[in-house]
Amino acid sequence: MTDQAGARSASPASLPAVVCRGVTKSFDTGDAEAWALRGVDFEARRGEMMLLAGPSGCGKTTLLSVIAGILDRTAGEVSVLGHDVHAMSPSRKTAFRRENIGFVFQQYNLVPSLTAAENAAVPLLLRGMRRHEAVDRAKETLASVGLGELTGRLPTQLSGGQQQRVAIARALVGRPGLLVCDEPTAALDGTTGAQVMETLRASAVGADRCVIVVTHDPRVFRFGDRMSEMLDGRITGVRVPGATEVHHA
Amino acid sequence: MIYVAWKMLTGDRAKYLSLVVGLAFAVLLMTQQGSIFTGIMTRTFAMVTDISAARVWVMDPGVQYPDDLKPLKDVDLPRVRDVPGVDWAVPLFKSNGRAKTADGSFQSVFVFGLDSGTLLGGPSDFVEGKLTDLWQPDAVIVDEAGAERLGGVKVGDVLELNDRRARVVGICRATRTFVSFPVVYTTYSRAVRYVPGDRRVMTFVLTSPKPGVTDEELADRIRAATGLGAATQGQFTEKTLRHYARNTGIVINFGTTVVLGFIVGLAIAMQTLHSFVVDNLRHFGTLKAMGAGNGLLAKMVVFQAVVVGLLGYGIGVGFTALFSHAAKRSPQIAVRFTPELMGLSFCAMTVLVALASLLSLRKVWKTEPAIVFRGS
Repeated sequence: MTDQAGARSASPASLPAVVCRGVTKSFDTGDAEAWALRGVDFEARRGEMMLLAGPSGCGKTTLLSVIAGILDRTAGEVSVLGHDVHAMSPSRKTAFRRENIGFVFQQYNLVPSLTAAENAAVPLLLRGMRRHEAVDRAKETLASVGLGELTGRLPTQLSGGQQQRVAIARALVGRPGLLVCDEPTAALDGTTGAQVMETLRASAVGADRCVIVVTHDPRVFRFGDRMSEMLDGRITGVRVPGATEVHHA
Repeated sequence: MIYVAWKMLTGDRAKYLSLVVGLAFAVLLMTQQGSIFTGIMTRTFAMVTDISAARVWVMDPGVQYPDDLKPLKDVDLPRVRDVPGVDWAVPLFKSNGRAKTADGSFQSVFVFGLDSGTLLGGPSDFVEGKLTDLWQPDAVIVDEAGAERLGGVKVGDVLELNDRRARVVGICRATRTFVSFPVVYTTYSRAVRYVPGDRRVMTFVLTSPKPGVTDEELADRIRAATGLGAATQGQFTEKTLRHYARNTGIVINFGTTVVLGFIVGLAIAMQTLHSFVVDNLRHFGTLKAMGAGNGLLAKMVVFQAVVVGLLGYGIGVGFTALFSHAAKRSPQIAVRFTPELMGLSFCAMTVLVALASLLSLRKVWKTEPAIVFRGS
């Protein structure tokens, strides 16, 4: 856990990567509006892994989607890497995601007919990089997450943990400033989940990168530098995992 | 990303094959029905195109199609020959006759009487014998399909044609007539004897323009100078098609089948492409989340649709061509698969793929990238 420790030493005064102020999100359910976010204030800094924890349905994934710019907020301010994402035009927002945000999904979302290296190369292909160049760089990234020997395998030839590491490589290959991870261990057993989180910490957390992980799995809390707890669409507190002191939002 | 689109498309072999097969079936349906329709319509003007040497046809002004037999006066031949620009003009006799087959049954036939000196208007493609064999006594030439209908007559066999002796000296290949009667060629003077009746016996005058005069110009001049009907090959063909279109239900009936083929094809194409896209919606959503714009996703979907469209088109057209080739051996099946039909079906396929792509694209464009954060 050397890297983990290293990352934990990131200065609290580090620049904020994500800042949310009074963010609300409602969904029209026909008869009434359902409020998924009810005035969220949230901050995550460069160089840290911030966990977003809470029970199912509390709004974690909605907040992550709003931060990633793939879901519009109803009200409030959202700054990502110094940019007001929601003030951007749709095409600019798309380009911003392409250049600055890496995604790790609960179900990996790998294209079954692409090899591990080709899957990991997709963000570079989206940026217009030539295929061979992109795949070569993806292979290097796969090696950094311990899959150097499996770059030619299809997702179906990999275990769940290995698939999630391919997904992590895919999220990292474009060297984004923000990594958003939605329940990355939910589909994995405890041991594999811990290995994936270790990989994530070791390879993703760096001085210039902020990693936000949505989870409701207490076993992964120890990998975070800080943890924001959510309940019923609000942040109820922020704490350092393992510490007892809670800073109420 | 086109590579990714290609891999997404071909990754699931079963789905990929069902897409291609579905589209191939749609194209096959359209082109096969279309080629049968074209084949049948071709038979309506087969005589005009088979007698290719006759660049202008002169006929009674009331004639609407080649089987519309309205005789001309004998003096019309020299009148046509006197029209400036006529290089040559020969008479053509066409009438219905009755042949007695070897088993004693009777079969209606078309009797063509060719100018005895030049034999212009006679067939050029022979299975056996040659055109000049018509100069032999009682000689007739029978078309290949007709020979079968006449009980499999061969060169050397003798037929009874309206109770007169006719000796088969040749078997030729000719496009089947619309009513599928056997075609019997003989000389003009002999044909008149075979089918006695009206004082006026000449059915058409076949002509060709002198160098420097176009077919259209000559037809115009003949109409103006003689008051007869005159048409170039193309004009006579068009006139014939118009007649059949107006006076028979063939265009509507076959048109309905072809349109139905298009609609069924469209439904198949839309359904298969749409379900392919729906199956891959999560991946498109993932790409969208990772920064793929709608334009790029459109390129991917259109590329996939074009690939399966082209493959389906190739296979469908290939099968129609095979069917068309095989059908040539059977005179019963009227099939004509033309480059124009290939072009039309390609256009139909393009429209079909475009509509199917649009429907699928709507689905992709409307997909919220946020769906990728849902666990299931």
